[in-house]
Amino acid sequence: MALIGTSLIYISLVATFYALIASLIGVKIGNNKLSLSSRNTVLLLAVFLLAATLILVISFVNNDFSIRYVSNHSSLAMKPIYTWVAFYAGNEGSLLYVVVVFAVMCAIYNMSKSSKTLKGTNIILMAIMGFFVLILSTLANPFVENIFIPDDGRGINPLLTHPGMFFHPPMLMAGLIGTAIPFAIVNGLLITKTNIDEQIDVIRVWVIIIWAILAIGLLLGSWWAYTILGWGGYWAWDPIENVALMPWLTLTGFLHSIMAQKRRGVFRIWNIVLIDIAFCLSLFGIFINRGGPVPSVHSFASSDLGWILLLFMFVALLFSIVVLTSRLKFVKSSNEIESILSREASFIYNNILLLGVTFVTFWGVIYPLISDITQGKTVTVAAPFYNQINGPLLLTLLALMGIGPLLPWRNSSVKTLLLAIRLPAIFSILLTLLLIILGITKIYPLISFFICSFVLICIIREFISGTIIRIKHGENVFVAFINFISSNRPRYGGYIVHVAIILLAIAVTGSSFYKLQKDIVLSKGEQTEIGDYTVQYIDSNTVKYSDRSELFHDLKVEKNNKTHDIVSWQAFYPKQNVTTVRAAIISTLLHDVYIISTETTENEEVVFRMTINPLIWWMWLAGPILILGSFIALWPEKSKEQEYL
Amino acid sequence: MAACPLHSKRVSKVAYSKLSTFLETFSCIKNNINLNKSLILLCLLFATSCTNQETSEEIAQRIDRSLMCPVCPAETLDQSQSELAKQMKSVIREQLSDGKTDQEIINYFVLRYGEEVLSSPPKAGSNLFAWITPVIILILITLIISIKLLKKSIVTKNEI
Repeated sequence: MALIGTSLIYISLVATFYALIASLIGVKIGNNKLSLSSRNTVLLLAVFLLAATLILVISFVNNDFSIRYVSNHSSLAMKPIYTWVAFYAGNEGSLLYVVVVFAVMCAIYNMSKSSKTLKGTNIILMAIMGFFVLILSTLANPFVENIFIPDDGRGINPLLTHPGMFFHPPMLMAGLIGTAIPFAIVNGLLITKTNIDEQIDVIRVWVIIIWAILAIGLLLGSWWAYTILGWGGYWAWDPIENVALMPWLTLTGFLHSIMAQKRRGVFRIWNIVLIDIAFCLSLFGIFINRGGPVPSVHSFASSDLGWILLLFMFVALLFSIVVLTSRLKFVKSSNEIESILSREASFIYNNILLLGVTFVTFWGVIYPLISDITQGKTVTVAAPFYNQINGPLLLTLLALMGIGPLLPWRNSSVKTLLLAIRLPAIFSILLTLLLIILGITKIYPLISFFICSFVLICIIREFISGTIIRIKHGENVFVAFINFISSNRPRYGGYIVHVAIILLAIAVTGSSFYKLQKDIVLSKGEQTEIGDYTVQYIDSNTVKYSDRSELFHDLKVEKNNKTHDIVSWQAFYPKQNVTTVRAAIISTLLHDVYIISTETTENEEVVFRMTINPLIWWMWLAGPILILGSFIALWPEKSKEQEYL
Repeated sequence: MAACPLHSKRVSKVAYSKLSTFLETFSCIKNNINLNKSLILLCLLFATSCTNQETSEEIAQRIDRSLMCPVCPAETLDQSQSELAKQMKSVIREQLSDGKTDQEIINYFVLRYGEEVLSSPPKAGSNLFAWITPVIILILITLIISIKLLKKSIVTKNEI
């Protein structure tokens, strides 16, 4: 079995290099047959790698401990379903996963119509693929065999047995490697001196998909951290979180400025720079993930792999710079920005803010290394740094999200703008006064809620007026609304995504500034109070399994004579000496009651952390709304649908 | 009032007259710029006049978040569940009840564990560089671009 797996990887390596050379020569001498051959090889490549994946999966399911990766990441006691997460639990498996996903994406691209005309893309795709498959076959082969076959495996990391772990890592890794596709398309167009403006829609669709995958990956990570890590938070500005965030922010900037390129032919060079940065940041992320030099709660098995990835990132960076500078004249924008009060200008500020947050985050991640080199000591950069600098930046971005769409293209006047913001601003001021009366008096959340309400009202206003016009033409309200959204899908799909961002902002504001937290030790029957709730610790049960013991704490939570019976859960894995926890959560629209047990003392008392987290539920609602908005935004125009299928 | 969609619906006369009075007040507010400005002022007054007293536990939790657990990889005291973190947390609360200020407590830990125990670089000395650099770069870039855009706007305005 292991032999077949290894062979498939070597075959994939050969296929990759063939496809690379064929596409390269095909472009150089203008031979279409070679280009076609390379396209077909890419499809074959996906098949080979999927086959290798299947073999690894079968090995896990059959508990084939002759394979070292299988014995390191599973055990006889592990339920077969966890093969899914065990697959990418370690270095070799996660690398194989990245390669397979990348291969499937390349195959999908090569089946699309645009790949027939864009011949340069495969050169770059196969070069990147070649690098990863080379590592897979030499340094990180998942099919390496054990010298002595153990009776049982080491078991899976218990932290991975949470449902969120089935989707969060694969989505993030898919999103990160996915940035290679637009990177290859854009640079392929530059190399072959093909007109980029005509391909904007193709690039845009790929970027939206990758962007949405990254967004969901990030949200799922937050959800996982919230329910399983036990400190009641969802984002810690941990280096691994940051390196996934940075490409996403860069792509967000791209999705906005590309609209200006589409509409007015501006930002041509800048948009290419954004795609290049996004891909390099993704490589940086994969590097940090693999035993990079920065400590994190997330780090994978440490290995030399990290530094090779860093080297590859510099190669990619150098490549991007060389390609862009050699094609500058070809790519230069024909039009110019005419006014600071224009949609184009608002996208400039949008990009400044997004790239600003990206830069601040990047700075925070590498500063410990800088301080180590310059001062000899490692300075820690954690949440307070990022919150204090990125907070105001993101808040400004939020405000821009409301004002930007109100600005027309090319030029506008202050008077027009003031007229447009008057109604939403007044409503938002009244709402803010209402919040103050209700007791919300901290300045930061007030500003945030003011801005959120402003943006929301602007969007709702545009939705309502657009729908009403169609109602007047005889359509009923539902049909009118759907047709209205459909009439400009990029714009209104984008607005729906903005709504999701507002929900996210509301959740972050509420939980950041009005969280109540209490760490307390309770004995059986004892009760305590938090917020308006009374929490009583009733009893505990232990259930023993072969690989772990689970501890359940029954709790009774009461408010205004309404009682909830909830259970907080802990599991201890003696073999790996790891404890995992699951929070007991009562979720309402206004807040979460969140209780987690962290340990039991000798006197059978239990240490609980209890928090009241305002508005958290809205964060999770943002996810589906974001997917919906992305889906609408990428749906092509009816006349062009044929081109993509 | 201009054509009102409510006309076509069956709303009782009383409710409608109440609504129109309400809306008239609204358009009055809308048209009165001075009132808008004073509303904003009122808003800010309310917001800044209210002082927020932190409880002792809230201060303690804030300190928890400002210090890293010395033995854990990249976790603050607030996040960590290690023995040392728990001990440090109880020391913090002890010192708070003794009347020490948050800065004194933080200095106490820096003395014992070095500056690495801080969860973000101190805003002083050589590490001010950490805070200032990104902010200054951002401000510079924003200024340069804004000036360029304003110049373009003036040119455009003159052309019209």
